[in-house]
Amino acid sequence: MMNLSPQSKDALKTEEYWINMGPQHPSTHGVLRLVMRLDGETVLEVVPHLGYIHRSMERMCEWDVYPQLVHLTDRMDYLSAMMTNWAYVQVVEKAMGLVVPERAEYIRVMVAELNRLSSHAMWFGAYCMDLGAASAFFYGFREREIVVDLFETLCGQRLTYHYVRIGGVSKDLTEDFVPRVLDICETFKRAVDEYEALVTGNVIFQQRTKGIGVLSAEKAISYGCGGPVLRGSGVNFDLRKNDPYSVYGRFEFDVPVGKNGDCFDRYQVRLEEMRQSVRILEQAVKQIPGGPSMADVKAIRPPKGEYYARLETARGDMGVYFVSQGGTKPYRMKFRSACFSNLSCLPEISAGWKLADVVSILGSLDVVIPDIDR
Amino acid sequence: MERQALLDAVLALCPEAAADNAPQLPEVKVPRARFRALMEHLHSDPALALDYPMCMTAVDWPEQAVITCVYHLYSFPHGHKLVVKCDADRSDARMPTVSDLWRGCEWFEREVYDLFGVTFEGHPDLRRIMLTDDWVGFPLRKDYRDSRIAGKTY
Repeated sequence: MMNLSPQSKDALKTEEYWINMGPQHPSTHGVLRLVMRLDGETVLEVVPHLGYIHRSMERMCEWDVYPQLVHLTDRMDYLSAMMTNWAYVQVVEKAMGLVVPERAEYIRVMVAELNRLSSHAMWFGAYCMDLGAASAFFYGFREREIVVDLFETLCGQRLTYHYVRIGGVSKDLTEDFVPRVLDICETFKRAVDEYEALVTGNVIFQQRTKGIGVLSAEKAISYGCGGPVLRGSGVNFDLRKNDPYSVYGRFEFDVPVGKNGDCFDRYQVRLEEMRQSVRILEQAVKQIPGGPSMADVKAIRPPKGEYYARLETARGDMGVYFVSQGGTKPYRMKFRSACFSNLSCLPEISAGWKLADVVSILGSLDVVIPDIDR
Repeated sequence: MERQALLDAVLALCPEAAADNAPQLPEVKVPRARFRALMEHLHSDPALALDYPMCMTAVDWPEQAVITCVYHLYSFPHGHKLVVKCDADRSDARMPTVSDLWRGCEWFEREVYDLFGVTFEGHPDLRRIMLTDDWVGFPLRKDYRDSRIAGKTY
């Protein structure tokens, strides 16, 4: 080590500095800007800046009639668009007191769980790539592809489905749907074991995730976190179980819960959720009844009032609140996005960690930027 | 707690509130002067324990000249939901913050400030969250006009 004289030691001083991460940065998964105050490599403060793709969807909703708004929800959380479609459709149906055919409810559950699988598989790939394991990215995308192919056959779209409609779903299942779902179930059973074998025990992966970005249960609740982020912190809460909607009450599945609330727990919760989604799919395939897949919907005019409904998307608790004046257009529409609340805890849990850990923490929250900005 | 029992408990805390059991979720409307004290009770009272900020937003009512702030709260210990509403004066929209009670409300309030122009007194970091800092106007107010969108009806 170099010997410094007392004078030159005084001349060398350290100071805090600010850097920008994003809006164009691969690990922010879209256009999110984090301004960070650093002391060397240590992050002292993180200030997220949102809104780079704010489209004011809530105002757009005030111009259009109810059925036209479904496609807007595709463009929020585009990785689990089936579930954002459903979250919106569900609240309008509740407001109208519309009874959805049982077959449509089963189809919705199936496409939602398939979408959860594809979303988590993609998250797995992207998260491992954030941590430097580039090859894992292709494993995640390999399995996601077969689900997306199935959706393409079903509704013609690979990402923005516009499939769940007010009163049911836009088209009935194709003939090859059920065999392909069973095929996907077998593939995912193997795939999740393979993910575990590849990544979970890896020393580098564990060092980058265990004990990093700890979010306590009280804070997760106070910040309004939902989904795997909330469950990773040890809160046993899943809207499919605790506030059940649709036909979820008829399926047996477990709710995986973490212990420590660190990045590793959030990772494990998501992997286990994929196994549970496979379980739900296998039961749904056996139980699905025949009949119509769309209710007979005449005019869509929810009665005057205010309505709120929530749904468990791949990212957490998505709520839709709207005020109706009795017309064909909503007076006010609010989308309570899961990612918005999940991201709001980032400044709290990333302070004090190294710069590279912020990438790991942000990845473990699984944010989709269009869902935050809306 | 059952709907009516929940509303009775809230009314016992704040007799000035107007309760409504008719809508989809039990709801109370509180005068602004009593709002902050009631919210503190709702958060900390173990019998109510509304600890989860499910949703928070606002609705603009130009005819009544108010902006109604709407808080959807959920209780993890008890599993009940409550909607709390409070009117802010439209010409001078001010509300006390609750971001210290529910940390998630910090960003919800920033969003309402950004899009409705409601100032939350006591908020630690009240800045626009979606729009640029120099944006003029509040886009979710009903009288907001923008040359890029004006007259767009279809």
